[in-house]
Amino acid sequence: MSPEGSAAAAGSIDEPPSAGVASLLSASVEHLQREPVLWLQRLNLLLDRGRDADIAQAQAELRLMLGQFAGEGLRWQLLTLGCELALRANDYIGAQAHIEELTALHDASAGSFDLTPVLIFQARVSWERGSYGAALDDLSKTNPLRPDDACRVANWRARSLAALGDIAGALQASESGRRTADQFDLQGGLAYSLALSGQYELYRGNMIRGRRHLDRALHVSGEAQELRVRPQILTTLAEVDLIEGRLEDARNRMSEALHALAARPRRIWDSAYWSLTQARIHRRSLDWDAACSAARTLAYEAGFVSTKAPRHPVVSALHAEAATCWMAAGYEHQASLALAEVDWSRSDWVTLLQRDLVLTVVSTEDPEVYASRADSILQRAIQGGAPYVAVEMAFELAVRANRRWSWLAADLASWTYSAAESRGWKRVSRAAAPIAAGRGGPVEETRGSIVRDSRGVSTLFAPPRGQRPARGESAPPLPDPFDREATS
Amino acid sequence: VIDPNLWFPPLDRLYAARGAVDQKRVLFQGDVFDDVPCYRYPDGGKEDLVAPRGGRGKIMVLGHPCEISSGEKGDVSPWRLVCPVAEDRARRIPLDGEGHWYAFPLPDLVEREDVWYADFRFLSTVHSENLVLAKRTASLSEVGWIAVQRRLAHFLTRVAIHWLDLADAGVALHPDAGAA
Repeated sequence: MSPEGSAAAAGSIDEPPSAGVASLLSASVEHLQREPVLWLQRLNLLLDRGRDADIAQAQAELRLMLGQFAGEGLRWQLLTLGCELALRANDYIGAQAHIEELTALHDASAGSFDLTPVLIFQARVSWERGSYGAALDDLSKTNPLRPDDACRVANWRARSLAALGDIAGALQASESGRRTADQFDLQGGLAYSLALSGQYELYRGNMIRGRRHLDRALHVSGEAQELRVRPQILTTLAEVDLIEGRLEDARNRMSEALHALAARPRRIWDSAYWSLTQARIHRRSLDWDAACSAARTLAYEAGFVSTKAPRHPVVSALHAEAATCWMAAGYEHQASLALAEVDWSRSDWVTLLQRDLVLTVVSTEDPEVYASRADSILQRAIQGGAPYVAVEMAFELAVRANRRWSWLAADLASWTYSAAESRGWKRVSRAAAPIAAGRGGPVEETRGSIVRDSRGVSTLFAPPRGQRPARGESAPPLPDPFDREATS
Repeated sequence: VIDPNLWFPPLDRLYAARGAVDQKRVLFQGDVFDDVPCYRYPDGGKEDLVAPRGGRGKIMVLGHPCEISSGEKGDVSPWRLVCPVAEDRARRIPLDGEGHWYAFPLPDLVEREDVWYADFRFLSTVHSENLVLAKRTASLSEVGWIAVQRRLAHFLTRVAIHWLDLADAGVALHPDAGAA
């Protein structure tokens, strides 16, 4: 969602300013020109308030300041602020220009300036433009000197790894950010790390841990008045409620999230993320009119975000969810249309899984192909370290197959049932059970024979080989338990 | 009724006991202990092939009940076949058992929602005195025991033994047999 809150926002955007703030906001240009430190403070205030007009005003004044002040120290601060302002305005070309100037200043200063914040900006630009590998490369070059930078690096690393489909790595990174934030009492970073960890735990099927992280994130964000991350926390909590089948609680969370959205400086994609979760709630509520309406809203949101950030991962996520809504409502042709002409090259891993699920359902006529594609999706989800995502998708694929190929639906539901039971995910296993029941009895394997000798010792003589052909192992091996580095 | 084709039973039927297992319960195949030495060779490079790598940690007892029980062959030989139990931090163990054939998952072993696994690739032996009953942290149910036997047999033989064959062969052996 939004970049991690590095500083608490200045309360509600409609809150009246204090006397000091008001005087700074109304200071004359002549006064500010004599006091560049005050001017910088004013720009930071505008950034914190964060309305579009504030950001545009701050950018214009920043350009003035850059033209008037040549001192390297002040210039470094101005360019850093310029990067943040450009990112808030989704002006990636401007942000890139500031990054290049900062890098040149760093190179010319023989290392007087810490390059880590610049590399974090570069990683943010890469991530927001859907280049997750490049973001990871940028982050790998950092050497954070300050704890807040270390926390930011960890959190952006988590987001990049998750986007590339390494959920375990993402969780490890967000937990590293959480530990740093805890150690140095960085409330904003802590709320953000916890929100990320909560999301990744859900992918792994750890609802209790996920909720624990998110509840703490909500508490911390409230204590610290860290408003930027609050809508993300609340919508993820709504997702937990949804997973656990508490639709009314999910709806209430979404209302809270809407209020939180209104009380903070907004990024262009904030309401898009809210709409994504809202659409999932409509789907789970089996409210097909609302789901179709949500699909249209999502397409609109995708168009809106695309105007300024066409490569942001939320754009394709919106299209994928819109297609899922159409599919769920039975409008498979509409689902196909929603997937067409989308640039999937910038999509994150989960979005690609969702897209492939919809494609499998709406475009497959052959049950063998359907089964093969379903298997591929499930294996990708498992290999990415998201077993719960795999089980949920298997259930969805079973439900969608049920109208056409009941035997295949029963196979998929049976897999869902067994997998969910083996991990204790009762809600999904109960949902899959009725479809799985259509499978009939299990395919009987050849029995061996038991022989008991005169002392009562039983020996099993195994049946001839051939019950199961030898199978290859496509997945990489599990780590050596004795290799501390691999298992830590 | 357990589907005989399943590798892993439902979680709520996997364990007989977890946490502080009753010390009066007999030592049995599939028991998990904490703080037991477990090693593999060599430690690292090719220079020293006898330097071990390992330490104390979680292990699963793999010897057949007849081999480890007191009053039987367990009294004759004090050596117990074990394998390490490691945490699946990356959550990559297949949910359906198709793949990673050397692994038997142990969900919720220590805390709820964690996933550990017995790793059959690293079988080793320890003296029975290392298996301190006060440090036993889990015992498998009869269903769980059969699942472990089936997985281990498949790992060593590539034969998927029929569930009911194992149930028949081990009838009345499990500590909880007939308890219901």
